[in-house]
Amino acid sequence: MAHAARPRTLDPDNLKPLESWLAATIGASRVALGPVELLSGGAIGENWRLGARVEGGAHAGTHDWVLRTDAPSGVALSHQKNQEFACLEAAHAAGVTVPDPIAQSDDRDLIGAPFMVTGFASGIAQGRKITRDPEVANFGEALAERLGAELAKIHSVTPPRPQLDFMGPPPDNPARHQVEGLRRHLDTDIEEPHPALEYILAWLEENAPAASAIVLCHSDYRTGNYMVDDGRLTAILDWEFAHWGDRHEDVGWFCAKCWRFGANEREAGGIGSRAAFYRGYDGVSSTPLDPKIVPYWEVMAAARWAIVALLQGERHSSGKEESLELLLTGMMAPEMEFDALMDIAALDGAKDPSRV
Amino acid sequence: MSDNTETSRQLLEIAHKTYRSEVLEELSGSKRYIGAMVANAMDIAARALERDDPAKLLEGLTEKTASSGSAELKALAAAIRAGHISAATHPELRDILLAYVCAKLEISNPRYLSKRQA
Repeated sequence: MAHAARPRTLDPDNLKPLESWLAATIGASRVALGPVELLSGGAIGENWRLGARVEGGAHAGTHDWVLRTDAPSGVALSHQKNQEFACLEAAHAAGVTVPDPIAQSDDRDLIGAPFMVTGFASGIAQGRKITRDPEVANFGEALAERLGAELAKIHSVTPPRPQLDFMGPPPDNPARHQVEGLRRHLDTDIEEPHPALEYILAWLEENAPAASAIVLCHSDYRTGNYMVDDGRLTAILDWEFAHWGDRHEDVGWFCAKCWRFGANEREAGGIGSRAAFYRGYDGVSSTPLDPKIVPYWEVMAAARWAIVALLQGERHSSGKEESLELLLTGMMAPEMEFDALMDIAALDGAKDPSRV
Repeated sequence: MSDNTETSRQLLEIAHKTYRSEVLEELSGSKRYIGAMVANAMDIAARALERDDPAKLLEGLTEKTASSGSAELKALAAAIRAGHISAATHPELRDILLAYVCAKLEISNPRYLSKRQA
């Protein structure tokens, strides 16, 4: 089987239905789109850049927008576009630097797939490019501090939120809840047994921290998922995994070795120091971080990314989607298993030097 | 090593060398990215043919799970999940699993290992 054929998406020669729908949705008398350009990236869905001229209503004027379609087939763990849009709106209302949420539709008849329209954010998101930019030595610390502050704003969103009910009830213990979810994936979605991951998950269960205040976690907050233009943050992207959880989960994910893109000495996302990131967070949050809990969540991050990588590999191995890239992603899992086991050795050793 | 395995190894080696010297250098843009993935896949396959199965490192543990053959790894994973094999029952467990993971990395990405251990 070759790559699965994608459903029909935006047709630049037939924009009338989308223009009419947008006008009705945002309360404009008329919306004219163009130019329309398919952006690179978007391995899962498609990203289109839209020029927009809006007459009447709150959005009157000329705009640069982006239309993002849903994945052609469901991706494990991720929300649908309408749910992602609800997260984006909640973050926007909390003052987080995100693309402006404009409109969203689940109607497949409009362009062939569910989609959302947001403001355009300039810059690049590629983690490798950002962490290898020679200028990162100059802008990295300030960017890390800013990203810490932005994360604190995300975490200011707390349950209950009727618009976010699709996330389900907040977990009693976020760490144990994650371990359960990851084990479920190993049991139902991944063919091959993984004893090292089982050991790591057993350790995570045994060492789970007590439940702390539940907040909105972005859950994929890392270098690669924010836009940077000339060293400055322009937008935090990719809200499809957001859920209720422990604030330290996002901190651990951001700082985990697997998301430093090889720039290990810059512990905050391969861009800056952990101190700058924490300082930014604590400068905004009414609840300070507990740095002692973060290493636990870095082990969780390694376990979770290992299992997500295996799920990607499984998409190829199961015959669902033939792809060398997916298979090679699956083969990255031992890298995270190694990091987690080394971190566990260090953490156990700190508790009991005889266990090193 | 059987004749078939040796032939496969030689085929892969020369295909890989030819591909790197004659094809990969000519690629640019997104084709270069795909070409590099193909070269990486051939590297991994060649190392997998050269090396022992990493699971052999777990044999000391799998014997204790009252299972055999291809089910051993599954039984070991289940025993760890159930707590029948743990750091308490097998103090060497973490080190054995680390050696197993390192053996997998020696096949999939030895550079990762050398960088982390530097």
